[in-house]
Amino acid sequence: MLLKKVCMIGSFAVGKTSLVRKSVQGIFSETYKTTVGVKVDNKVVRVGEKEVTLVLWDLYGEDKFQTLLRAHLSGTFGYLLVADGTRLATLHEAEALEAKMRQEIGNKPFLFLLNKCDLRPEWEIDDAQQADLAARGWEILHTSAKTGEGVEAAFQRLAEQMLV
Amino acid sequence: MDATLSNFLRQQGYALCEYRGAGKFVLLGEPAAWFTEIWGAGERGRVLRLGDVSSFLQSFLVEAETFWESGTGHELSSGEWMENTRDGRELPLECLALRVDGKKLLALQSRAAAFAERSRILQTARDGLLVHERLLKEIQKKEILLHCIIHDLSQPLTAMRGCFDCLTLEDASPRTQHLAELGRQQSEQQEEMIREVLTVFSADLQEGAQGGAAREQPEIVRCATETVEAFAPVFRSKGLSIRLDPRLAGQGGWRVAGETTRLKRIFSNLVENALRHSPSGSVVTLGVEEDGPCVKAYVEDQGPGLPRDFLASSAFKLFGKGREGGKAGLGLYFCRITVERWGGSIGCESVTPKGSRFWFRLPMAKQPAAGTEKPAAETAKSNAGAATAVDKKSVAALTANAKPLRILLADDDPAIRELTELLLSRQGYSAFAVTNGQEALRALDSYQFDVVLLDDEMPKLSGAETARRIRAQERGTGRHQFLLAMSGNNSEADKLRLQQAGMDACLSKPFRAEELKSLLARFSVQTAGGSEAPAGAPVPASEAQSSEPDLLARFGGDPQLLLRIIKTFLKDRPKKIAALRKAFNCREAIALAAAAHAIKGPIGIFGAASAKALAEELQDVARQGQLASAPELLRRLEEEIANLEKKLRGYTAQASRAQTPSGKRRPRAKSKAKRARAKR
Repeated sequence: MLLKKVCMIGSFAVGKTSLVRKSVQGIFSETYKTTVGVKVDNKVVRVGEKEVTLVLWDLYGEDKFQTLLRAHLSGTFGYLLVADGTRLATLHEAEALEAKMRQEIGNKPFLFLLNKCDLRPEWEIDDAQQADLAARGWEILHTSAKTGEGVEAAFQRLAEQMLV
Repeated sequence: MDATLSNFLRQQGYALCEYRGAGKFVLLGEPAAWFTEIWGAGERGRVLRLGDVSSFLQSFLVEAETFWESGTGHELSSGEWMENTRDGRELPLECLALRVDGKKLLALQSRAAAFAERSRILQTARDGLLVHERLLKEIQKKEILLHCIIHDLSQPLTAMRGCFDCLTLEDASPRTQHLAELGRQQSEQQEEMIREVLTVFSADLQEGAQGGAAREQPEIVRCATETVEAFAPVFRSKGLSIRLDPRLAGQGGWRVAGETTRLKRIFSNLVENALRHSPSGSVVTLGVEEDGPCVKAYVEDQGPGLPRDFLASSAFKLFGKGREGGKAGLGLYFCRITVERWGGSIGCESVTPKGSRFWFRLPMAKQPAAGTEKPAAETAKSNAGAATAVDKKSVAALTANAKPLRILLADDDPAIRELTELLLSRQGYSAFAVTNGQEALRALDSYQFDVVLLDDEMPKLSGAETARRIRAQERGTGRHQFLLAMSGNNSEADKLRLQQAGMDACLSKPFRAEELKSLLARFSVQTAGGSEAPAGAPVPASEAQSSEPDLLARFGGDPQLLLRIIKTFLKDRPKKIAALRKAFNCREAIALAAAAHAIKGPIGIFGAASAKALAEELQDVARQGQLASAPELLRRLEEEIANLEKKLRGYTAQASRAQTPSGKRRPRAKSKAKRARAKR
């Protein structure tokens, strides 16, 4: 079986833990509980004939209170970069984090998840901004940990990218 | 291991393992209870493969082995991570790789107590940040919404009040007068409610507009610096740069009217706008410079600049799209209403060789002398209150010899425009109405007016911006055009803002006929230099002393303006004639007087003196209820209007023939006024 370390990266309260929980345990909670430290879970996906175990490292959101440890990033095969569609600032933070990841671990496959698409009327990140990111080669998926929209597709797509 | 040491470590929550190579560890002493809850009961000397039982440790051991082999450093921390106990509880752990007496050790510790405390602090901090973010957004939305509500509520109310005022001026039956009075009272009550909302709005949300702004007086360079620092990582990640204008080195200390949080929000909104339009590798510059009694701040990008036909004011409208569309446009709108509420102005322009500059200007905060500090609201009130807040010297100079005034009225609302015109004419003034600030400026290029009434919020060019431009043109000429603002935004801060834009006085919408009358009475004056310009139609600026009724000259040589006014007149004429006939056929004297009045203004503009005189006579007889001569007057008036129409159609046809086959106009000579302006 293939093991691939995948990091969940993004600002605080964008829904990284919720995406993992929804995907691994099928659970969603409306209550925001901040992640302190690292949680590791496994998720098995199939890519063609191959079975891949994604070792999901749910890292705490980086902000002024906590910064990512370099040690947590080593051995990463790919990552899910998450932003909250209703908070424009989290897009800027995601852009800064992507630059940091490139510097720390090189060019690894990643997907940009615009989370909370169940709240789309409140989104502050518009199509033009997404088009700008796409033009820079970012693959964007819209997800909702609440409804489950796009969640499985995100892990599946990243696994496919990592096996290319 | 020594039993005492082993017990101590266990009590402290540690499990100590020695690395024996090939992924194998040996437990030293008794491990803490949590260890067994996760990985089972360890036995002394039992060999463990920690990398096999924990994905986290598997990754950390790679780092740890490098650490042990390197021989440098005292210890290596894994940072905190969570492991699940066998019964499903999450336990926070931390692992330290150590070198002691040549041994490679791993100290695992449960961090439950410290973790709980840290979680609590971080949760509180981040919850606070989220609440703060939400609050800022809500405040912004609320400000915009309330601003719109106040404006939209005031607009129809102005029309209603005007209607009731007109009715009370009519020679109506006591019953009608009573009903009109009732309506007027109700509209007054509603007006009071709007004022209350506005007061709460101002006190609660717009602290910056009143006392708060004066108290805080943010340091603008500092706000710009903090914005640059906040955005620097984002810009770096996009391959862009953001900087303070190098010319700012050693400058600063400017304090402005406003409030820090909102001021930074304005900078942030403008920077975000610049970020969206900046090509890779370019630089966005924030600058601040002194600008007379104000401080001007700007955000300059090196993007494609503004489109050629882009109307700068449209960028700051509610839901106005920026340069290429995209976001909903609340950000720039927020900037505008906030800056204006603080008595400032905002704008944008293209810069050379490429790029654009979004700027805002705020009044510089004055350092009050000890004991002389005056609350901003009080200052605003004393400076800009309706009718009382006027340049008193000017009023004194003007009130000496009262004469009918020529008034330019600019308001985008057709109902208010019509009513204000009606009120003005009933009070004996001559009004010329346009629909926005741009048209007002063009009219001022062509005509002389004694007073200009400017609605605050108009499309294309606001009243405040129009006033600013008029004042800018007057600079150094010794001229002073009297400007009267009409605004539904009635806070003291709004009045202060309008006064700072160059208004001589502010008339709060909805206004009463008496308020307008008393305010204008203060401006009644003989024309400058004693010229006896006829009341009724505005006098072409280029031929202020001329009485020649040359059609084009009356419009300052501007054929386009003339054609537009002709078109409007011809379009409205059948309706106006029909109203005259209907009123006459129904023997409705008041309606006939109103209809005669309604047609008097437009025909006066075209210099049709005899038609205008007939309309006036018809209006007079109708007002007196003496309709005996009305049929003859109406017949002659219709004849005169038909003549005028023929003349106007002739002019229109001639203008059409003057167009090139492709439909484009021939270049025309500049008017005197335009030539003079170009010279300047």
